[in-house]
Amino acid sequence: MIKLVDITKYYSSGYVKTFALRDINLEVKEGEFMTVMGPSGAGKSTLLYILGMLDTPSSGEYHFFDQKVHRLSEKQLSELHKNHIGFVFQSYHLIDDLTVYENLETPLLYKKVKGAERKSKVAEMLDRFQVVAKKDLFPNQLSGGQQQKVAVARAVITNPKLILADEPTGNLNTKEGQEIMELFKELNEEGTTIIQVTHSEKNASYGRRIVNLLDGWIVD
Amino acid sequence: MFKNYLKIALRNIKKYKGYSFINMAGLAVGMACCILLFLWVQDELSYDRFHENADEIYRVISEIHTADKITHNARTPNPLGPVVKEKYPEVIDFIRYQGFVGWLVQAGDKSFINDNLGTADPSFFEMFTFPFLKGDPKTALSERYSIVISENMAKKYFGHEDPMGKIIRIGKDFKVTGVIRNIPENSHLHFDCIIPIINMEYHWETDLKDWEDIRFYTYIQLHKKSSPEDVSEKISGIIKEHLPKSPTKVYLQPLTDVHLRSDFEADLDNYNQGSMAYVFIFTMTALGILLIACINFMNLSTARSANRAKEVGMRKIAGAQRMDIIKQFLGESILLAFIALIFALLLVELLLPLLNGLSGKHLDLDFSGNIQLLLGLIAIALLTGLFSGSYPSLFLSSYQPVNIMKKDFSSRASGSLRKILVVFQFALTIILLIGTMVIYSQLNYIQNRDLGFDKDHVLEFWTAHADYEALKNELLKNPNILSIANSETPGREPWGATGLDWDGKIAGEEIRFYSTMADPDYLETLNLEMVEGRFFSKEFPTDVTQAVVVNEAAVRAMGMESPVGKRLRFREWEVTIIGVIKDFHQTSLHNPIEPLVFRHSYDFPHVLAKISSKNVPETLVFLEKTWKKFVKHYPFTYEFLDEKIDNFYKTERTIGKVFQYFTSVAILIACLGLFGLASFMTERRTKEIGIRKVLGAKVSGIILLLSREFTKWILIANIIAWPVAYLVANEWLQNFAYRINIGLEIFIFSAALALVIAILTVSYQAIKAAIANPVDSLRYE
Repeated sequence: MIKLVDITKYYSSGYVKTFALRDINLEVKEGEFMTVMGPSGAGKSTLLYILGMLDTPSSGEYHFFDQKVHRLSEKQLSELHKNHIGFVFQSYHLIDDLTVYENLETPLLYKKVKGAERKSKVAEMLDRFQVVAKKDLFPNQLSGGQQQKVAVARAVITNPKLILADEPTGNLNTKEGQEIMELFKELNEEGTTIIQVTHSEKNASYGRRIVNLLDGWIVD
Repeated sequence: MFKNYLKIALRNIKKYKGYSFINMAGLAVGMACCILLFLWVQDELSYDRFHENADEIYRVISEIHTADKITHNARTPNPLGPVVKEKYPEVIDFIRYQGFVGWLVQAGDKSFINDNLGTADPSFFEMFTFPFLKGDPKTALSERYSIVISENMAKKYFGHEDPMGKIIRIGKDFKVTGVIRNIPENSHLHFDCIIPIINMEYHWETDLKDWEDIRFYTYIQLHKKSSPEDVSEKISGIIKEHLPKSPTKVYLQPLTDVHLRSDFEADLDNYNQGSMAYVFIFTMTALGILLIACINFMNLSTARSANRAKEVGMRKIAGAQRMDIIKQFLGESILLAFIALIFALLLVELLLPLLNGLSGKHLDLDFSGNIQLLLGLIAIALLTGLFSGSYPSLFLSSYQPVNIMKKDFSSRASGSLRKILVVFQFALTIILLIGTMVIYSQLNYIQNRDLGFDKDHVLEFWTAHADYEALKNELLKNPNILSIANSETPGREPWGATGLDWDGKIAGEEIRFYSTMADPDYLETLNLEMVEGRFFSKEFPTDVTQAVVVNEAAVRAMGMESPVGKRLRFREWEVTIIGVIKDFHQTSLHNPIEPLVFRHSYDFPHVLAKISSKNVPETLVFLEKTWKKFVKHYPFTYEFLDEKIDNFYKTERTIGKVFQYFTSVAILIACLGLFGLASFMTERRTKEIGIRKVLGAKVSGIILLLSREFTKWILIANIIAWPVAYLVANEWLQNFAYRINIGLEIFIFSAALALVIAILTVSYQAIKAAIANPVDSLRYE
């Protein structure tokens, strides 16, 4: 499903090049549950953003199914991304001024899904993630765990093939974190590919494969 | 999708009330100014367009070519109209018109002298569209003793009775043959009643066949396809034919230009005269203020963009294209603009009486009869929304989600563009500020300039042809009446002529001169000085018919060495110059001092009286009482000379006031913007300020640091504004023959004022930041 060939990413400021990723070669198969681990500054998030097509590598090739991502225009990227990829962040990143219902609806609006279908999809998600009672609340009226549930629901509402999670339990307590991880496991069992970044060994244990990063290199 | 955006927009407005208020208040005030000026400009441009044939009617203007200049006179020789119509088929019709005030008008037991009496050729109502309430426009003026009156006049004289067929006496008896609706304010022709021109010949000693008599305004209606240039060429030819020595040509002024593009001698209705230049200046001011408000909006929206950045990032991750984001934010600013428009309309309703009071117009917000206004408003809101939303939306939509998701994200909206915008905004404000100050100084200068005569406590009135000597003797019995002169007033409309001949004149060298009536007491009444020779005197009875006094300007124009004793000839009179009077400003300071010839008044029904500054009310009562002994039918009316002279600058004074208001508004809006920007800039530097304080910086040092940058911007804005303001102000000053020099102090003062205002605005934020505890700003690191 995903194939990275010699991916390098650096930031230049003045005369200094700071490398975030160096010669990354990685293959991810459909249905995998992969964990990226490593200390702060190892390049984990950068890798995730590149995989999520939110950031572009400085060099190297990125194949997503049969598409050459590194050759696509911004518009094509956006199209690919909105149909196949869902994102979950450590700090949830819900839109503060929209209710739970409206937050869930937003990706469907951008996919130009018709009204009736939208309604049923949102209802299905609310039901599945057990947040029906909260649908008219704003994000800041919810606990962290509930917010993250909504964020996951928003990520999966478009039925993406790939879910990218950046320390999804980082801001949650143990019980809430566990719930979220269970959700991921469930999704993975239904066939969704999941790549997560985490510091936690316990969370890593939900996945079946671990990639370690150090100073931008993959280490075994 | 739209609903989603709308919700977000409304929730944002509600959530950030203070910010939304500043943003919308600025926009609303800017729009209100713009709408007010729009209404004013629209009214100015609407003059005389209500006539059905407006586009085919022209006014014939005389162009008098003399040695050093071309003078325009709004009147043409009496017989010109009929001859032109007879000779040229492209001229459909002609109308000669003249208006008078001060005739005694009687009907039944009512009599007034303040009606505007018009006189015109009988087809007047066929060329001009003044709707009739009663009577037939085609035949109303065909009888010699017919009169058409306005609705108001009908009410005034006849109350609720039917005025048709009633008799109105103006010297002779006239029968009412029509009643027209009151004349709209946006007409350059104003009259209460109108009689056929033929009466001028029979009763007012006007020879309608005399080519040398230039008394009427001539209007002609041309066939749609004929060229006004060709026709004016032909008319000039006719004048040459009948007046071979006259240096007069004509040009055809479109009827719709009369209000805004007339700067002629002897014109009608001059106190109401508009000017294209002011229409232009006001339009620019309106756009300028709106621009300032838009820039404000942009700046504030962009400054707040960090708050919206996360939303933008999430939307992009959820699949939004850049275009979606742009649409959303543009939509939001258009929504805000429309909300601001509603507030602006309320403000306009509130402020219209003020503008009407200033301008003497009766403007109102009437959408039903004014599609243009409605479309204009929608266009204003839409353009404002689009323009002011363009930068924030482009800026916000450019965010890369990956940058926003990183923890150290901070908006990079500091962009130099925003600084440029603030500089631009202040530059516009400073231009307005300098403009206001120049207008103010010039008006001040006019008010205080020595006119060369004493205008205070001089009043003028009409004698109704009473026995002047008896009236004078009676009046002078009051010790508070210091002197009385039987003469014309300085400060009247200039009314020049050519064709003067003098000893030593080089053939073909024409000058345009002005003549005025005066008697021996004139000199004392106005406190004038002689340069050479003597003024009229009772000791020389021949002065009445054989002597003239000229001013210095006339001597210069004629190029005379020793003028006293030289002979002057003009048409039927031949006279001797007996003295030269020192130059004084006989007309407004818009015009230079022109050659002036004084003739001795004789049975002239007009008086100037110099009264003492003491007991003025009693003196006025005495004047009226005495006057009434001599004049039976007329009420006593008078005018003070200084007020009359003041009236010359009424337009400028109005413009000055309007400018003053709009400049204040512009400063206010610009300050709102600066305030918003300052709060944003300070916020961004909170950490820096914290570190500096920890390192031992003093509060005063921090304030200085924060104010310094703004000071720099204001100075740059000044440098941009100065040349523009100088050029515009200088152009305006060209309207005056006597004007101030725009001194450096005006520029320095405006710079200082802008700086003080800006620093006051900024200092609130600076002081707040400077006295904050550094621990608070550094803790969250």
